[in-house]
Amino acid sequence: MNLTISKQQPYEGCSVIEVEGEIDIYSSNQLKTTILEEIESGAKRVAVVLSNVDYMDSTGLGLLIGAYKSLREKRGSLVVVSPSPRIVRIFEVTGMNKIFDIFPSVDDAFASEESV
Amino acid sequence: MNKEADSNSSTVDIVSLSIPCKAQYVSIARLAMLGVASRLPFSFDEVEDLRLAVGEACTQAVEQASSKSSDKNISITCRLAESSLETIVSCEGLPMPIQSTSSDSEMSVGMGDYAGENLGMLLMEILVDQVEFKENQKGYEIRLTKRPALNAAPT
Repeated sequence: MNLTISKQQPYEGCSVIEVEGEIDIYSSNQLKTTILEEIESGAKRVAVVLSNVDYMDSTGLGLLIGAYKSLREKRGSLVVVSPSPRIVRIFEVTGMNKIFDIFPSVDDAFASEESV
Repeated sequence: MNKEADSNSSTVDIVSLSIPCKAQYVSIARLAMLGVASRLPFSFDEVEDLRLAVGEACTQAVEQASSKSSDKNISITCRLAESSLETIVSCEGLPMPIQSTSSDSEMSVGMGDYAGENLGMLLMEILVDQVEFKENQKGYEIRLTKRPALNAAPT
């Protein structure tokens, strides 16, 4: 099952990646490639919107951690936006909710970045 | 579906599934687990936990097989007892996955190295009541046992 991924750059250096579908070992490479492309094209602040993701496994978590680390090394940031309760639970049971900033909306995510 | 009697003489129903050890088939195992788990009084979250844990067990096998020939199969055997569901995920001819679940290893990853293996183990251990890893001459098996919360033993 493929992911549907759309992306936009609302501000310079900011990228919003919206994902729809199930993120697993088969589909995660698609998302990894997209995030890498955004980082390589200069995005320093990346928001991954997970409101339409109903399943995510360790490969999805792992790629988000990898992207988070890559961006942090460039003094950037990766945030998670609007995950479903099921995805929030996965973040919580693995302790990843303490690593990632999770926002209810893209506007909230970038408002937070501006205030930093 | 087969039936057998457990040590307490109550009936155990057995559901077996075999899928190619390839990434694109893991979702079939997850889908099957939805149907199997619905036979017991699991909550929605418990079914989802089980689905994720079994998906992780299959993912371990696919990752182990990725550098080798992909003609192997993953066997998934579900043993439905009155108050528990035991799922055995096995794959012949593959080495045992790394079992480390330390938080250090989770954080030591780069974009090219997901460390999904460790996270997968961590998730399995969190999401089901009991996880057993067994290695034998043919390969290995991961045994996941989950009991509906209503039937869980008090802690």
